Amino acid sequence: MIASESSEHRLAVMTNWAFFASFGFCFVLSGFSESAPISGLAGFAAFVAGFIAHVVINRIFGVGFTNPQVALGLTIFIVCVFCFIASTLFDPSFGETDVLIGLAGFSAIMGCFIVYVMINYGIRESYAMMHRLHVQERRQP
Amino acid sequence: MSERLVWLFVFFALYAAYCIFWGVANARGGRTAEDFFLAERQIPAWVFVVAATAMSFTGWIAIGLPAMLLRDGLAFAPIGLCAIAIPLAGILFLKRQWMLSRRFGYVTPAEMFSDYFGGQIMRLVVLLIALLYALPFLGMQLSAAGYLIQILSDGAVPWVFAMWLLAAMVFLYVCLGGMRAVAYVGALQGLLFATANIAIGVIAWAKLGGFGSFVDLLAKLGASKVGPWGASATGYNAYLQTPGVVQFVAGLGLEAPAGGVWTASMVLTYSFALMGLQLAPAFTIGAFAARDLRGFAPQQVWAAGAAIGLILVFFAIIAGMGALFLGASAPVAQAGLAVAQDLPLLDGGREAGLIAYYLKSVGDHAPWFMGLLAVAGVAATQATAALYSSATGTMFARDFYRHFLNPAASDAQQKLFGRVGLGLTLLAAVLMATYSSGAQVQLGALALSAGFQLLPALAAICWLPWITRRAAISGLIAGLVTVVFTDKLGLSLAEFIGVDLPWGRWPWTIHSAGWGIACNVAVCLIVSLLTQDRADRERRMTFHAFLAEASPTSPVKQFWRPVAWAITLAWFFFAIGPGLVIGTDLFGAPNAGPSAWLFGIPSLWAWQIIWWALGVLLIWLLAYKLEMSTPLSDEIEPQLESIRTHL
Repeated sequence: MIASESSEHRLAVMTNWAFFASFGFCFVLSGFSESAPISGLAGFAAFVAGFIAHVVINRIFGVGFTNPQVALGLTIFIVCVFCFIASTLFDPSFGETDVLIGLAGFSAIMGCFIVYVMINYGIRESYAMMHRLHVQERRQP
Repeated sequence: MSERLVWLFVFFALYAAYCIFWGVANARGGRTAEDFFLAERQIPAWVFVVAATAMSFTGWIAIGLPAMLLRDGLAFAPIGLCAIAIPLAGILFLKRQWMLSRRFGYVTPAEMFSDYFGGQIMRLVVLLIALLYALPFLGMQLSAAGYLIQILSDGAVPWVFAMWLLAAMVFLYVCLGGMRAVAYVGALQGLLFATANIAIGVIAWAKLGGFGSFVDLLAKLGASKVGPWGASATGYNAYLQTPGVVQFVAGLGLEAPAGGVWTASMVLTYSFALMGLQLAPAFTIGAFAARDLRGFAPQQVWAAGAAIGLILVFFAIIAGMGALFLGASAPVAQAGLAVAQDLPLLDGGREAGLIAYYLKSVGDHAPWFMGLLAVAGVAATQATAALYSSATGTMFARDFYRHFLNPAASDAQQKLFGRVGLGLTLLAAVLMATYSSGAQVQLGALALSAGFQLLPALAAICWLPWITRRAAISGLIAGLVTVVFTDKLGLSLAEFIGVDLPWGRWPWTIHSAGWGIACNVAVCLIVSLLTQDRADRERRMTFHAFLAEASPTSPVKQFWRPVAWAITLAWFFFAIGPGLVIGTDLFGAPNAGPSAWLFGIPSLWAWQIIWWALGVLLIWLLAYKLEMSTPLSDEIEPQLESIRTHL
């Protein structure tokens, strides 16, 4: 990509996430604080929409996810999952509905990611890719 | 520190970081003056679509329109059709201005006017209009955002401090990144602006207990005489009807019109004033920065006409009219029509705080949403503030410094003076807002009307070669003078020098934009008839020959042209013109209730929705079918000699 296209791609990605993530975050918080499944799931839906929009933007600009993007995304996802698990275990006000909202939401995001990988790389290649990573990890001292 | 304040700070800090990031990111790339002023004419189409929509509808629509609906009722609702009228102004002129800018290298509209008409007077008048527009408008936008933050922080953050902070933020990212930062940040601001407007409508809807409940309340209101103007001679509540085609009263301050000021003629002429938003020099500069024409038609038809139109005719009305039943109106509450007390009393000039109080009511149980939506409101005002301050800085550098003081100015010098102009504009605007809010209101009232006075001059450049230089200038000056003396500022000036004018503000319920354009066009036509000059016309024809050659009239366009103009006139007549009065009871009397209302909602609202839908169809026809905003088939070859002869 030439410099201006790269800048436009970055703008599109940042605008996309600034928009979807901020509203998604607020809806998820509302869902958990009021034990309101519609709000909570709407929040996770916003994150899924942001992910799909990111994929569409990448396709338009003819690029894939960069390593920093993957790292940032995974980090945020893992931190959020840990927060969710911690809340489930240690926060007495965290009810059954909240757990269901979280499970459904995080599953939807993971499902979305798996579907993306499978569509993009195919089932066999996706498995091979994970297998290679696994083998590489085992070989490392 | 309350939880609300914490979330307000969190979202504000994130938003500020986003703005400054784009300022810094674009500061590294901007080397030439053209890059700084016009983003190297490389704003992508999708950015233009979103950013231009935020800039043309501004915080006024986000904050002001629901407030005016609360004050004046559905009589004000047809103003929401500015979602069609504003882009219509763009459809008429933007594509051709962009073509001329590409051909002759214009950076500012003043350069274009000066080159087309010849001489310097036009340049100076356009500069004056740009300043007259920017200063009060900027101050009003930023102070509105300041008040929003003051209300939401329960006074912990004074509005003056918030306003200065917001102005400093605009200065920082625009000063660093120039027009590219304005547009790039505008992309997010546009999305936030639209979503916040929808969210506020949804909040009102939820508080009212749903749409059915809202309509029932409107029916009860319609059957009563509650409100500042009571019921009209026809027995209809003034909140739900248009108070006639025109009322021959002396004007506000001397004689108040019966049933409110929003007669059909006031709606029409006020809509003219709003059309000035896309005729203003700042918006033209924004359009010059577009990489190509691909974004023009989608911005005008789908983003502005369809999306913002939908927001204004549905969500803004629910938010504005709904507030009457949520405790914001004392007479409505006293009549027992209020269903909740979620809002404080907001009559007697306090209506402007409506959106802030809606957000505050959310803040009690979802402070994060309050923080996010508050930032969205601030973003709506900053989108406009950034464009207007950037454009004024550009004009300061190009039309004043480079043209009059240093014709050989280097890129670095131009950028420096652009930044100085930007800083001075923002400083003057916030100083005026801080220390002279009265002057700001008086000048702000003129801004939109003054922008609209450029219509005949733009028509000359884009369509009508027979309008001469002297005609355009004298028409423009006559229009501006008329605008001043039919609005607050002129009346105050006359009073100051001891002249007792026999009219008040907006005589005959016609807005100053209407009086101004009437004088402007009349003078322009008469002077054009008297001052035709063959040599000068031949010179102007070179511009029109280029436009005709680059955007030829196809047989399809020729067929549709008279049809489209007839439909346009009909739309103006029925949607926002004299035909508007038919809408008061065509689909059921306002006091008859939902069972008698053909569409289950008050007739005036249904009328507005129908004309909004037809309006989208109209601008689609003009923009796409008549190719008034579609891309050109061939590239434009730059020819810079013309502008150079005048620099």
